[in-house]
Amino acid sequence: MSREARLQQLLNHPHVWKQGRRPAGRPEALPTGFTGLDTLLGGGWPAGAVTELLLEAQGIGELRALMPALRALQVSGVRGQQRRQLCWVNPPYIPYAPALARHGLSLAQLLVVKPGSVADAVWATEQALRSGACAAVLFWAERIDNKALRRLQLAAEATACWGVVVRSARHAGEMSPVPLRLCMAPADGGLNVEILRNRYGTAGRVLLPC
Amino acid sequence: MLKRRPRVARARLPAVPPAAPGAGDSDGRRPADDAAPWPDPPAALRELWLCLGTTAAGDATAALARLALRYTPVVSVEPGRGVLLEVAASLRLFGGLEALRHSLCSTLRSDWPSAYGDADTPPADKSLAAGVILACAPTPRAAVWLSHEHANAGGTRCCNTRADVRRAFGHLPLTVAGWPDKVQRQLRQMGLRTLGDCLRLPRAGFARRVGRHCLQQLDEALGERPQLLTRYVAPECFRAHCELPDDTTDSALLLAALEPLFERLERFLRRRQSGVSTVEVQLSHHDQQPTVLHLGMARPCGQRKRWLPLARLQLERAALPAPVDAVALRAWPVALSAEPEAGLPGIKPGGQTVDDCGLPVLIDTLRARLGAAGVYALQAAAEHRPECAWQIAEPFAGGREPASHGVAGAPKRPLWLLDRPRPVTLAPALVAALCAGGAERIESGWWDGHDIRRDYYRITTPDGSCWWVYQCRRSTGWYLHGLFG
Repeated sequence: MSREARLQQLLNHPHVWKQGRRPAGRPEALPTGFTGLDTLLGGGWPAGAVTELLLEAQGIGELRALMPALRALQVSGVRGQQRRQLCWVNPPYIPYAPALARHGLSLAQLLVVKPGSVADAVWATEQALRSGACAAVLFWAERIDNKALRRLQLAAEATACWGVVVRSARHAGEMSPVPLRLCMAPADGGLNVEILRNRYGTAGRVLLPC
Repeated sequence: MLKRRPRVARARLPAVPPAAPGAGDSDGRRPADDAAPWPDPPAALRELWLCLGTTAAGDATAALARLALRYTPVVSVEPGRGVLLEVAASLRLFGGLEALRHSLCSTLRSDWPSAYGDADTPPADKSLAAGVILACAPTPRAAVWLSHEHANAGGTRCCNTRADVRRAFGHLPLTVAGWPDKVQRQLRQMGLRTLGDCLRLPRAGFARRVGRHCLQQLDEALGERPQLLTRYVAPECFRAHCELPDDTTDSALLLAALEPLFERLERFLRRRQSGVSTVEVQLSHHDQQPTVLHLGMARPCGQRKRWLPLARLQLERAALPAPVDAVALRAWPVALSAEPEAGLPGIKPGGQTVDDCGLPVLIDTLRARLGAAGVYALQAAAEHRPECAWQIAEPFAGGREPASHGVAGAPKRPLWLLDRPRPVTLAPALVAALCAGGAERIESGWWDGHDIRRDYYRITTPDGSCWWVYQCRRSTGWYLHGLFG
């Protein structure tokens, strides 16, 4: 391999960031099911990265916003792989099975984890992301620090698993190592999604009709 | 004809002497049950059955049967009656029937868990060990009958020959046979008191009146008809034990001691082409109860590399009350599922792409730290009450997909359900608007004490959450039951 080709290969590495240019290598996009959001995100939710969802309150429609992508993951898997398992860590309420089935999720491919402590919850999420058995891991975090978020991000990158960390909107002003951060707030006729940070596309605001 | 029989029997009863030949001492006292040594059977006898009579069943009889396997390979369990041992071939090894009985009784006293018998009252005689009665006969059925609590076969429960059995039947009450109450009542009304009385009746008449199976059982007991028994096969169990050179609480040292034991278990399972779903790790302490850890597996597996991380996770979190001086493993092999764990070499490279290949490992790992209840799957149930329409299911239990809930016509349900409905206060104007809009009424559950009468509504709160609320028809209070996530 020539020197130029090797240099080019090095520069194309996803961890090398050049000012003024978006990184070339980006994880596979999972279509969100909403055209406006897809455009902003550059194709869809990034598999192999952690997405941080900051919510004004629980139950404002955040699950319905994720539902099309989760359903597609269960049907087709990531990159044609067989894994289609979803793992929900520390959900705030009971995920209601009849409603999930009504939204088209397969209950056999859904694992619920109820950890006893904050440390256990972070550990369980990292295990699920790192195991390579899950297509998506959703984690409702009460308290999580940047170090833990960084660990989750590395685990998600290693196995091309989509990690979602759901937190309260009061953390919106804090620093976070996560490549994609969204803030969701209820609005007239749907859900107002504001993209605070996006390594793979542009920031912006979109109204989801759900 | 039926009327005449009792009269004959009643007339006959006083004439029958109560004592069998050789029974009773000179002063008329009956001999203590089985105080006398049991004589060896004649050498020509092909089979001799011992019965450990007990009314226990289930695990208790299984434990008794495993204990009996120390004396003979031919053991059979009669549920609710006892455990049968064929001992004719074992007599020489144990030095005769009396020596074998003595050994069996002392084993029963020491090893038979006292929980299964009445430990406070000492056994009345040698053959009684914590609720177990020993009897011996040339046929299995006769041995079972002789071991019955109320049987007192002329002073002994040992009948070495068929003639002895026939003689003993003269004293065995009808209850020992365990025939249905109706049959027993019928026989009593006919004036029969003992099994010997039954033998005196004409065979054809007995079979017609009482039933053919009773006659067949009598024949089996006398050895005139073969009896089919199911042989007891003890479940195979892996045990390995390792003494530690020094007492320690260090999990790394314990793990190092466990590793060779896991290796032996892996070889043991590979030879049998089986796996285990639970491995029991026992950590013995010098003067305390041993600590027992259970490594559970979502799917049976036979690979050391799966158990070691689980053992490490559990050891790191186990609270050891004292230093450990020995470790032991116990496991019961189960058949492996049809599909191979990691695929064939060269066919599924990497093993990562196999359908849910990593999932059992993930579940086991999570459960090792969070406990079995911390990881579960969900299942929908066909039920109208919202709180009963979902269930916790075991992952891989083959949870069925609900057919009725997936269809579009099913009522709309929230994605989040609250553990218990939370009382809420709604503005009167909102209530009026809701009630005008129409409700979904759910009234159900009167049969199991959790009956509900509720009107469910869907509302959007000022902060944007979409609530599923209901009004209880009894208390007219408003409750929040779900969120439309």
